[in-house]
Formats: sequence, C-alpha cells, structure tokens
Amino acid sequence: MRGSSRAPLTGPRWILGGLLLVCSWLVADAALTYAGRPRGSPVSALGWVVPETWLGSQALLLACKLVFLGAAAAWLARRWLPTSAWVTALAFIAVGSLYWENLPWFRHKYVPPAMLLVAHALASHEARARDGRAPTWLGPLCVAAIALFYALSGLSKLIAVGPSWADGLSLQLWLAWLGDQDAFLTRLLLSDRLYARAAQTFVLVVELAALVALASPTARRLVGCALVIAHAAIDATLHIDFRSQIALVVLYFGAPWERFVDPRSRRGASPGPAPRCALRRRATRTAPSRRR
Amino acid sequence: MIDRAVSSILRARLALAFLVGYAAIALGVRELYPISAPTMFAYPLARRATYELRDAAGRRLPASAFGLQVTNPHDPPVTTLGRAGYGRRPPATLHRPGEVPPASAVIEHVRAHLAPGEAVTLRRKIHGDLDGRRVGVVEDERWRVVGADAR
Repeated sequence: MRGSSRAPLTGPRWILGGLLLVCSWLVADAALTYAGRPRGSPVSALGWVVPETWLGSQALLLACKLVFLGAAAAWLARRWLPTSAWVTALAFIAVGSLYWENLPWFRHKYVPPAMLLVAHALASHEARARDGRAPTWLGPLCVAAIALFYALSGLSKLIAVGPSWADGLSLQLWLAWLGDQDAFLTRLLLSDRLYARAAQTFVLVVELAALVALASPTARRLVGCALVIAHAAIDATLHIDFRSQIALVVLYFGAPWERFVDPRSRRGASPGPAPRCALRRRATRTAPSRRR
Repeated sequence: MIDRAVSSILRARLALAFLVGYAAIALGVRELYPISAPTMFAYPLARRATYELRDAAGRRLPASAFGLQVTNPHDPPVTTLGRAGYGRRPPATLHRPGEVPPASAVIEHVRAHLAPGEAVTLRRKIHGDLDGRRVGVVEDERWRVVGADAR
C-alpha cells in the first residue's frame, strides 16, 4: 500500500474538520423565515414523525443547532465516540429537516453533508481504535455519496426532460432571464446556441458520470475538477451560492485517501507498523537478550 | 483482529446498501430529506412568458397581486418522481416556468382578480428561439381586461 508505513494520522481529522465547518455554516444559515406560510406536504423523514406544530418551532430549531455544535466539538476532540458522532449527524439532519419543512422550495446543498456525516459516524466506531486513520471504505463511501448526489441530479434532468435537456435553448432562456448580463460567460453563452449546448452537455455528462470518480484517484480528481468548473460557471453566470458544495468536492475528491487508509483494515494486506507504544514494549523485552 | 475486520466489512456493506436504498427512494418514492434527488433546473424550458400589468393611469402593478408571479425559477414545484411540492405552500400562481397558458386562460385569471368595472392592461411577452442561435422575444401581446359585473 502506498505510504502505509508513514500514513499521516491526522488526515481524516482534517477532512472531518472541514466537513464540520461546512455543516456549521449551513446550520447557522438555517432559519424558519417562511414558517407562517400554509403547510405543504412533508418533505423530510422528521416531517412524518414530529407533530406539525413542532415543525415551525424556533425553540426546537435552536435546540437542534446547539446540540449539533456541542456534539461536533466533542467529535473533533474525539470525546464520547461514537455517540458524539451520531448525535452530530442526527442533529444536523434535524436542523436540515426543520429548515426544509418550512421552505417554499428545496435547499439541496443540505443533502451531501448529511450523507457525509453518516459515513463519518459509521467510521467513528473504528477510528477510535485506529489512531484517527480511515477505514479502507471511508474514502470511497464519501466520494460515492457525493457522486451519487450528482448522478441523481443528472438522472432527474433525464427523467423530467430527456436528453434534449442539453439542447442549449433552455440554458439560453435561463441566462437571459436570471443571468448576470454583464458577465463575460453569460454573454458568450447567449451569443450562440452552440456554446450553450456544449456547456449544458458538459454539465449533464459530468453529473451522470460522477460515479466514475470511484475508478481511480486520477478519475476522482478529474471528476472533482469538472464539478468545480461546473459550479464556478453557474456562480459566475447565475450567482447561485454553491460555495459549500465546492468546498466539499475539493475536500473529498482532492484528498489523498490512499494515504489515510489503515493498513490493518485491508483484507490480505500485511500488517502495518505497530503502534508506537507496542514498539516500545517490544524493544524493552528484547533488550536484555541482546545484552546476553 | 478478525472481529474488527468482519465488522468493518459489515459496515462497508451496510454503507453500500444505504447508497443503493438512497438512490431507489430518492428517484422512486418521494422527497424524504436527507434522502432527495436534486431537481434544480430539471424541467423543460422551450418558451418563457413574462407578464406586465398596468392600471388605467399607466402605473405598473405587481404581478403577485394577480397571481402571475414566479415562485421559484430554479426549482419549480416538482410533481413527478412521487413528489407533492414543498414543505410550505407558496402563493398560488398561474405563471409556472416553461408553461405558456392560452391567452383566454390568462385573461380570465386576471379578470378574477379585478373589482367589477376595474380595468388593467396586461402585456405578455413570450421569449423563445429567434434564429436557431439566439433567444429573444418571439411574441408580444396586449389585452385590456375589465372586471366582470357582479350581476
């Protein structure tokens, strides 16, 4: 395994720290601004189990936010694992659910962080015993979770419209309607359908092929780059805030997961170096015989 | 050691099952956050209407007062894939992105919002394909709509 003998112990913690930072940002953003509007339909798992009167409760939202922050701090400090990890994940999902239940639209940027928190919470059962190294499956699972999100986005377009979604006409109409008319990219895409069609095809192909990222580290980085380009282009033309999504793609698709893996969690792999304390014990035991 | 490896494999399989189940529920069942298929910009758009309303004095009136506002241009209420709309209901509107209702339907809709005898000028522009390369206004219509008598 590449780098197994010198696998950095802190890698997954950096990634977890980045994820918790993004989640804290989203948690701070969640508000019940539209709670006064008439109730629509349940859009979250919480919406089916919690009484309707609780869903618009500011106190409940605040309590969930505080639980999230407290549990996340404990998780980062590696206290009360794996309980703190699961409480963090569930509190984030509760905040996201309350937010969604009170919105007259959806906020899909709350979806990937929830999936990633669940993945890390699953791994926290093992991380405690492995000095913070990642189990073999954590990297692929996190990348798969994000890639699946994008693949579902591509599939939604195919199901709702079909391959003609990428005909360039719809993008030009969106840009003429909602786009920044001063942006160079907006003007370029509006100047000729050919450019708009190419841009839309690029987005659709990248979304549908996002799961290719699981094939190899190079594929992962290429897909990550393509997704960041797509998000940056949307930001430049339509000014839709995808900063949290960009941060997660950079973090998870750019991370050297291969170096974080615990060699002992690989099937058939030779055991990696023993922990420092075990090496010290072995040295103490062998020292007298050498002297003899 | 073996126990740990087995539980790791089990957890990995659980994780895989979670992803497969996730995709199935998101696409085939319904909106169930944190399970959700992103539907942003996933709707057909070949023509787009804009509405402008003015009173008898030529003052511009808000489209929302006549139920002609656009609720969410990025992610209009999804009613396919087992979905039934959002958590909170947006104000009712005739103006759904990508849909161009017949003129008679729009006129009747506006008339229903007017007091008897009250008159407004309704202008509808339809944006669409101009020449195969660019988009622009392809239709520009104006109607004078008068509120029906309460007879």
